[in-house]
Amino acid sequence: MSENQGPRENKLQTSFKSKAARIRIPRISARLGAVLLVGSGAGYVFVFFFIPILITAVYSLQGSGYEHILTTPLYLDIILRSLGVAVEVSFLSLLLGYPVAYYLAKLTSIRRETIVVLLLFPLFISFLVRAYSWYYVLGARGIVNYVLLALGVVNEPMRFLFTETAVIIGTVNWTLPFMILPIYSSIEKIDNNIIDMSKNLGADDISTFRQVTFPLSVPGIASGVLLTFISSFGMYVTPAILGGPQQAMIANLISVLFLTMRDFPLGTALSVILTLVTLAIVYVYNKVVGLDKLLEAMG
Amino acid sequence: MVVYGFILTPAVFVILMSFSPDVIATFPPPGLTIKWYIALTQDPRMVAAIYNSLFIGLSAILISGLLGTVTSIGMVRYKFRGRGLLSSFVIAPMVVPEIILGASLLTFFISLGLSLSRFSYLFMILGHALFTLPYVILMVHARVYGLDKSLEEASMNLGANPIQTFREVTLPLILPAILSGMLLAFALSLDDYTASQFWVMPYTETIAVRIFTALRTELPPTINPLATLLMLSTLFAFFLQVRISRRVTLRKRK
Repeated sequence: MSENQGPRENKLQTSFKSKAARIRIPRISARLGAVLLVGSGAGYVFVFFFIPILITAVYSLQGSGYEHILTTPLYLDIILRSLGVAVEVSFLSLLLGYPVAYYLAKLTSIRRETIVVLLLFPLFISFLVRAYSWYYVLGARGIVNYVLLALGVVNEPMRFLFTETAVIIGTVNWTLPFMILPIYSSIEKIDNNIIDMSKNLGADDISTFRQVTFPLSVPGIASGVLLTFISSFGMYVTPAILGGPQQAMIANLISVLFLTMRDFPLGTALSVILTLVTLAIVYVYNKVVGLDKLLEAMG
Repeated sequence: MVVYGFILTPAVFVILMSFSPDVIATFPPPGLTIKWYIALTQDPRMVAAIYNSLFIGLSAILISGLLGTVTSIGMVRYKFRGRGLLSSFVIAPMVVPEIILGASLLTFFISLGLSLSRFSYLFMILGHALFTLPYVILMVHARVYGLDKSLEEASMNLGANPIQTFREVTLPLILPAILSGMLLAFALSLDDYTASQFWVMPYTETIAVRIFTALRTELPPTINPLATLLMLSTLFAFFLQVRISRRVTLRKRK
């Protein structure tokens, strides 16, 4: 708020403030305090995050990395596939997550805090373990094949692992809470009077949902899709564990370029592309919905 | 409920399989045994991974806990130009994919002329502190923001200096949030492979790195007990965190 105010207003505000404000630390040391306090964290992020990304960007311009990426069908395929997987995952998460969020929001018997804790709970179960736990569900010796064989549906184990389906199942499993939480928050916040009013005016449940609840939950959907999309677009672990070479995504390619092929010009160029796409999506979201909505939805 | 089952069930299988006597776990397990847990404690690489995870995780959350607390206090207590921009800036490492954090930090260290083989511990600790910092800031910031400022002012009016006020009034009030933030940070550090792959050396292997490498290569039967251990420790961190924050809300209500 106050960053938009001019210095004059600031001064005015200070002089109107309570006595306590004046008893507090003198002005100069307050400014120094601000610099030291905020500067420590911001400085850390600046040195170990901002500068490294700048250096990566500078490196990427030195070779012919971008040219190479844009003229090699394999790399373009991987970029397009990553976008495709992120779209599919977001769509499926929305399809599965929306009804759950709606149902949870209509539950009045459970407190809001409890629901939020329940939704956050899966995020704490090791993400890595959850990815590979699908081996025991979808693998040749896993439970799904066990049941199929026992029922005589198939004669030999079906191959589910190392396919795009496995990657998508594994990813949706991980992103669902990111989708449910913001949608739940947005529906839960809707004033019940509005719903009652809509019903009093003669709308049935379906048209109330279509014309009142759903439009009001759109910011929640946007936040959920943003979180799901950016986290699945740049993911590494799930395609590496549940996918085969055909399912490699951008992050997997970056890892191979850096650590196996030691191709820094190409690796840095691809890193810059991934960073820019991610930031562009966040930027659009911020313009259309507002980043503060996201924090609101999560807490 | 069905969705919840879908989210949680696969993880339960890992726990079940950790007790399976098979070398290559098959469903259903033919019996139950703890022999792979015993084997785990006798495998030096596995034990080293557990130690490394603890050392790197604890060091990293000390850094991110301290920086996160101090930054959050600064962000709430002082009004200055560009504060909004600055808060997005410190949260940015959370938004950018982890693979980018890993690759760019490695590029940075190499361009500084630091050798990975010698400074791997340092890279790991600094890197883990980086990607956990935004989470600590988010949790502590919310708490400092909700703090009743008049408590601090009362303390000052009663003659305490800023340092005393911080130690006696502010810190005890925000400590639960700091601890929750650090626990979350620890859980994230334990579980990280994506960024760590760029900073790790065989001698700094953590639990997550060991599991991932093992999945790619020999798939030893000790991997399920190790994964169970990893899962239980992140879960433990979660319950501790919930307990701490619940105590705070209860106290607030009184």
